[in-house]
Amino acid sequence: MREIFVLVLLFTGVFFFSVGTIGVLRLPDVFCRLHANTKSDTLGVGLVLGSLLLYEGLSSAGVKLIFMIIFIWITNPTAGHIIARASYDTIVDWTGQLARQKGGEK
Amino acid sequence: MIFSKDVLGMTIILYIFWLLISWSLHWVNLVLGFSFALFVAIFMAPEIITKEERPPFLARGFFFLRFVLILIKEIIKANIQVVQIVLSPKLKINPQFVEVKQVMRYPVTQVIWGNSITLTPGTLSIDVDREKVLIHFLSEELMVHFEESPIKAALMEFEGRSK
Amino acid sequence: MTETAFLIAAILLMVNVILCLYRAAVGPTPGDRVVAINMITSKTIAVMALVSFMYHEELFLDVAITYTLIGYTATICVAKYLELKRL
Repeated sequence: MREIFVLVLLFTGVFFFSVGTIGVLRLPDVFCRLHANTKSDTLGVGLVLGSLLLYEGLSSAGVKLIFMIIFIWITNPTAGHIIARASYDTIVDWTGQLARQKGGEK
Repeated sequence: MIFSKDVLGMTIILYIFWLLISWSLHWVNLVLGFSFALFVAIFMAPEIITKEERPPFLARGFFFLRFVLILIKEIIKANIQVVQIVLSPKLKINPQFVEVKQVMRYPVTQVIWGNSITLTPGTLSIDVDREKVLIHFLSEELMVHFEESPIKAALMEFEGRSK
Repeated sequence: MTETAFLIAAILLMVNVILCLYRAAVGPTPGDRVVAINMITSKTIAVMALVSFMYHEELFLDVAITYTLIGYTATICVAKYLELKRL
């Protein structure tokens, strides 16, 4: 019974990872790609490591998995934010305008 | 003043982290872990978040827990929306930049709010400071959902304000 | 049986990594490349955890924790370089 839950969580996580990959390949500019990156990677890591946590139970390996989930959930949106801010000044987005002129002064 | 309350708290947090990661109670491990925790806490003392920068955390643990649960629900919603956009054969997006006012008071909640914006459906925070937040929207109808986002209410409650 | 599933999941994730490498190689702006590298990092962490459970070797999990933090630091450094033109 528990194994079925583990497998369902694991492959749901892999599915979200694949959606993120397809999004990065398909979407037109950096900011749209960041949408796919931050959201689906955060949930994908949470589901894959969460399934392993369910498989393992609360042991020394389980505690390490919990720390990895917490770190990724904090660091992934922050990394996305800082890439977006670094791109905002210089990047021409998919309509051909400079992103900065579209959004006003920073 | 090196041994302030903040440094001591940081030492305890790092020590608990060390003990959980190493998962053993040998005395060498205990002593070594404490010295490393103290060293790192003193070394990083200017970077530690002080009392003025954060809302009263420990008294409001319940609200923070509720905020985390709402955040997880919103992340799942955001992912379903990303799946709908990415897997539809024709991309229905209309990206836009919008500037909104900063509603949070403390620097810590401003950071949490910026990260939560990134994780809610269809929005991405680009620039966060004390007065305003610059947001990238994926399409226009998501603006309505963003305005009445439950995360904002939960985080304001965590700050100690009712609405 | 579960370990076979771990192996299949790890292989699927590696296929995803190869697709992300395409974006890292082609991506027109530096920002695209950083996004692709960031995705590869998080997928590698998941693969490391799966491999650790396949071989019953806990050491890989320590490596994965370190890789989480190092990957984040690398992303921050590259983004800072893009924004300020210095480290």
